[in-house]
Amino acid sequence: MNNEKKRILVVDDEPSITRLLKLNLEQTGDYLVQTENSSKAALAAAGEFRPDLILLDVMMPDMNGGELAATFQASPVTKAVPIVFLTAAVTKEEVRVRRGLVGGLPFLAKPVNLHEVVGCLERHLGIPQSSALGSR
Amino acid sequence: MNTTFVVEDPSRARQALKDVEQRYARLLASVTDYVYTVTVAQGRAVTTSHGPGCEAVTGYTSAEFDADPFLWYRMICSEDRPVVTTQAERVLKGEVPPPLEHRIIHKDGRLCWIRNTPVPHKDESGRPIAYDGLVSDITERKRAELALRQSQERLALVIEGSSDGVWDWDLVSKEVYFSTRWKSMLGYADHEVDDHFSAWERLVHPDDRERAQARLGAYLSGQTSTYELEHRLRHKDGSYRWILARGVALRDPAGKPVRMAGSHLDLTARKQAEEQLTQAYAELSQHEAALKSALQELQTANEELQATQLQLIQAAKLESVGTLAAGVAHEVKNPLQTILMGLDYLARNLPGDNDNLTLVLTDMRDAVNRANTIIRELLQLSGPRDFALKVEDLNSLVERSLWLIHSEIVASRITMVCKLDAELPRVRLDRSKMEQVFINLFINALQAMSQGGVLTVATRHGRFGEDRNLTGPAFAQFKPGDPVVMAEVQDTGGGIPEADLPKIFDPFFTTKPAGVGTGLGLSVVKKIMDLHGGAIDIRNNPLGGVLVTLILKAEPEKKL
Repeated sequence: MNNEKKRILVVDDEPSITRLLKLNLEQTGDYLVQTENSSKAALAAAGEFRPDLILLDVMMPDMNGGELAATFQASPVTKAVPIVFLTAAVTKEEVRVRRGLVGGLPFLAKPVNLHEVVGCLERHLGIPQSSALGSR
Repeated sequence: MNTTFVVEDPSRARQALKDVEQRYARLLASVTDYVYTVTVAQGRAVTTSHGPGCEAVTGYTSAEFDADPFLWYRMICSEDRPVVTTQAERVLKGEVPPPLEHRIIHKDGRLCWIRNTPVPHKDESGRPIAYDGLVSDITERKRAELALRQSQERLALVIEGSSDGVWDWDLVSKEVYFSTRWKSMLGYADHEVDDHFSAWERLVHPDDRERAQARLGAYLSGQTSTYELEHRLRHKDGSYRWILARGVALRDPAGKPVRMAGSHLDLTARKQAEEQLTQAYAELSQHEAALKSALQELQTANEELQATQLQLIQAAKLESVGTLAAGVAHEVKNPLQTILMGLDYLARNLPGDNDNLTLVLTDMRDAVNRANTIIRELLQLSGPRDFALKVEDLNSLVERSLWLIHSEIVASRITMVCKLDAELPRVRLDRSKMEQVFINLFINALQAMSQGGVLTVATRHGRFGEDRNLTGPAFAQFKPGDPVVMAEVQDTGGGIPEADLPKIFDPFFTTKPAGVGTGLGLSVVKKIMDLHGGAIDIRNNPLGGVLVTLILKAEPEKKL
């Protein structure tokens, strides 16, 4: 792992989820996490935070994840940033059958444990698979 | 006759006289003829003398006839007097008339028949001078003749009056008397049937001939005691009439039949009526059977209707559960996500080694997984999400499903029996969904055989309708003759209580211990089979355990 921590923008309308993701990911020592609980705030934060990857909830009240992703990809600042959806809208089976992609985009189906989140992040950040979390 | 009595003892003399009188009386009683003589002069009767036998025949003595010259005439029955007079006149003229039979009134008042045979005597010139007459008592003969005639007339009347035909067969000459009715019964006039046994033989229906001759032979040979035969005889118009023949044989002292007579009764109308009755009965039976069948169909239709209604209610229930599930799934998954992440965080930040805390966290993680499973299965009930049909090989899908639960099978110590049909046609299916179906069924079977057993998985193919167990509204999507593929999953566990069978597809219904099943597995399986246009049948195997049959339409063979 590169010494420089990867910057992850986590967007979910549930503060408890964003808070625990931040705690867990940052505790690995490999990630710097910024959390946002609305799409507007996320758009505003992205320019300044310059994330390496955006972890994005799909169903949010003001703007859904799909629209937000399109906006990120349209923005020169974030268009190259990989996006992973973290959502309750698909099942684990659907994700598994489609090898982690739904509509060509990477998906994580809630509820997901830290091990699965880290594995997914490493895959999309081009990082060799970590064993930092142990076998849990 | 001159008789001389020497009277030695008066009493003996009286006895002798009495004996003579009695002998005379016996002789008189046996006399049936007497002779009379008439002398003739100039063509007229002059004197008449009656021989002693006259008393026996007429009751009058010779003396009485002598005393009364016209007694002979008065004695004649008044109706017969003219013919007697005529006969006498002819004799007086010198003719020789034939004997005359006529009636007289006996002295005791009885009407008697006599036969009078006059024999004239003539002189040299040919003139009659006298004639003798022989009078014979023929009353008994006349009575017998009358009785015979009456008997014959009676018989003729009976034959004429009866609808039976009569036959009388002389077995020696082979000649047969067939009555007019016998012949007319078959459309023939009297002269159109020969009086011979062969006439009957010719008319017997070919199919009846052997039986008729056997019956007749058996009777004539004494094997049977009566002769009765129903047979067909050919009518003059070519049709056949059913005839009942009955007869009796006369036999010589040696028992050999010499004559046989009997009757023919035309049974045709009765037979036709019987036939019509039989036919009517058969038609009635058919109608009754049709009615029963219609009733049965109606009952079946009614049962199917009720079952369909139940299914519709079931489907509606499933649908509403699915819709509800889809709505709440998102809301539940987010809290689960929080809990799971929280558990991960706590697990990594436990102060020191604390086994109990680790155990609690593991239980909580399992609870989250279980809640997630319920949500996932509820979502699967809600509708075809990502339902993708492809033409696939069901056998390979079964094998992969078995592989996916391989570790569970090994751990459960059950015996696996796999009978996959090598000729199985391909099926259009969603591989992922069908895998889920088989895994659900395998898991159910394994859980039903916690003490070990045999899990049999089989595939086969055929035409819908060949398996009579697979009927009813649950199979309404199939038509008889549809090519189908079937998969069977059979366990040797305890089976399902019969009362529970109708509820097994209800969401949240489970027979498993608490915490083992969600009660959604079979609901999901049913939903997936419905999505495939297939069907599922679950029943207890008569030999124990549960037999699940999945049935899917086979893909038509692709022509190269």
